[in-house]
Amino acid sequence: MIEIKDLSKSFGEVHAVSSLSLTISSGIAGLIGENGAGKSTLLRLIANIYKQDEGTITIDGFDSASQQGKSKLFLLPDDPYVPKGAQAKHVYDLYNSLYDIDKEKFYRLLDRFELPKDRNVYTFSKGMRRQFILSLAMSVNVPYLLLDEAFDGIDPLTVGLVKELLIQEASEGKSIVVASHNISSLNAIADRFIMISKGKLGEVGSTSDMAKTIFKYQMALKKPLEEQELLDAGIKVILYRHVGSIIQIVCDGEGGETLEKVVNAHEPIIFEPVPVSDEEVIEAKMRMYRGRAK
Amino acid sequence: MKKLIIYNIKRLLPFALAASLISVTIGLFSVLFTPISYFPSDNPNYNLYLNNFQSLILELVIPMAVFAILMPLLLFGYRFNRRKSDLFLSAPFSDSVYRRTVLTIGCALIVIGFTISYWSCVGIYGLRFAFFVPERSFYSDTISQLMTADFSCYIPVYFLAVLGIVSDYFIAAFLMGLGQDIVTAIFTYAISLLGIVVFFTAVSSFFYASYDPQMKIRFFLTLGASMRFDFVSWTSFVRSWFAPLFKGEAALPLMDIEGAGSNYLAFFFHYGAGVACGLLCYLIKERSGEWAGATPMRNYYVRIPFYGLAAAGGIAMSTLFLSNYIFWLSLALSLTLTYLAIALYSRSFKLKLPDLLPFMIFGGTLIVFFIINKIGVAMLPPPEPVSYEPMPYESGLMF
Repeated sequence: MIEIKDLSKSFGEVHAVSSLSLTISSGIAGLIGENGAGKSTLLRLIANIYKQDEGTITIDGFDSASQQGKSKLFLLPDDPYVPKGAQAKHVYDLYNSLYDIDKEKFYRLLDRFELPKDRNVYTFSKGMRRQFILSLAMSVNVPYLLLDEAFDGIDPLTVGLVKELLIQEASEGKSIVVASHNISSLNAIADRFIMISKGKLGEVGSTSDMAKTIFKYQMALKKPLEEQELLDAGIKVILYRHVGSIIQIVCDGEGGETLEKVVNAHEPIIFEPVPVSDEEVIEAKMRMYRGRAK
Repeated sequence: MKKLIIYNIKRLLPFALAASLISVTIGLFSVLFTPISYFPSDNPNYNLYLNNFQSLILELVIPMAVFAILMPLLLFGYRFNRRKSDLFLSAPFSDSVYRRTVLTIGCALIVIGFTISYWSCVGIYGLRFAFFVPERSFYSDTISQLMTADFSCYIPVYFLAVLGIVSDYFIAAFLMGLGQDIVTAIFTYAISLLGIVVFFTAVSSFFYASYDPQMKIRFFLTLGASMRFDFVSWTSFVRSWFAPLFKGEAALPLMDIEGAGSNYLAFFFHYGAGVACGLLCYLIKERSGEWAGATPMRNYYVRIPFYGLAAAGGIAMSTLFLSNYIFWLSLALSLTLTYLAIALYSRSFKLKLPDLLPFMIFGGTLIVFFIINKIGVAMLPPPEPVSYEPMPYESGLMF
């Protein structure tokens, strides 16, 4: 288990992570947040690349800066290092000098991704390079995998394979944290989401947990209804959009009688609750926490 | 750990081999072209020939010393690049262990490379002496003693040379380790060396400020220059003082503080700095990965040599204050160098307010030390007239 307590990290005047406490246990966790939310910084702090200003990180009870702690995880950064002109075996040699890597598994995964082994990795496309380095990451014998932008640049067909492999890894007992903006892909594999915004922890839980307080309505009204009117009435509107003549709103909380009253005043033709998709829940939550952070 | 050591040895071995090969080549030139004569009647200055060889054989340290100075660039590459820093700083070793391991591997390769080069050359010299020198038929007890002294000298010279190269290595590792990328690492190293020379030149000038200007300039060239953090300081010491001491007759006159004294100080200064930098390299915690690839000026460690150089420059200038054109020339040079350094480190030609600090330090120390200098000189008793006698080594007699 990775336990983070009161973690803070600043770069000059920028507070990248502020008093963040979190526990990462088994399974796949999706780390989400807007650009600059502090996802990569958090992963780098866990991997002991950055030194925290305050707080503690322990990995299975060991300090994250200790050898015991560090030997339990592997971080795949958004832009990992691959030596220039290196082929698969050179990259393997480098990473194997630092980590315990299952060579057979690495080459097997390269085959599954249909990647050439004798080609300069630098000549690979961005997506191919990502697949290559993911193969390496999944071959490292560690209980914790931290993957930053795991699906970045990978085509939709191959994303399916990546998801399948990650689920397999998790089923074999690895704890995986995947930071990504690809919510739909994350949603397919993650059993919970860790949402951070402006360096602060927003929420941790599954989309169904998060959806409990999120409600979506659609309405067609004779009189126009502006978002501000809803906000003035005390409705916590997170998303407000026009789809043709239909207005869709996503709110934090049910809205109840207040919402009904406001809508009725605008002579509704249609006014009904509709199911919220997982992506909409995530988007709504991200907007919510960003608004709070502001 | 074992895999890490093997991987790094494989990575660095070609460089170490290249440096050793150049060393051996240079050493072999000394071995093959040094005249050998122990026969006193033919050669009254026989010790000089022996010294010549010992001086020449020290030339083979140059490639190894250059390699030792550049080696930190190979070792600390991970600190100059964010992607490498991510990989190596997250590697499963305790904090700083990776850095200490690669530093030790680098040091071991240098020592092994130099040891093989040095003893190969001494060995070949011994063979040449044993088999190809006609004078061996004239061996006498005296000559045997001289030979024994000569060959026994190679052992301490070897250890001093190893210490010197290792000192070069750790001094370079510490100073270059302050850099943010290869360019600033080299620049930090260079300006630190310059700062040291300027500082010691300035300090020495204080003591001799009341002497004639020629004396002051001579000090600039001797004491200050010999206090450098580079291999010239300790090799010159070994060459001019230690090796002849073993023979006695050809030793440098020790009564002269400028000649032997400065070399002697340079020797301890250099090795002392080597030990201090080595300790710092091993003991200081690994810096956070956030500095990799960041603008150098953001890293406050990088600013230290800057401020040091500015202070040293200010002290040095204070001894020349308004005295002659050298002052104005030095002032222009110092300001230009400081500005260029700031531009390089902040990656911008525009000066911001915090960037003015080195200029303030320079100006502040210049004024303060000028006042101290003037007061100090005023308090000194009137100097005795000093006549300038060139040192034996300055006349070229010793080399």
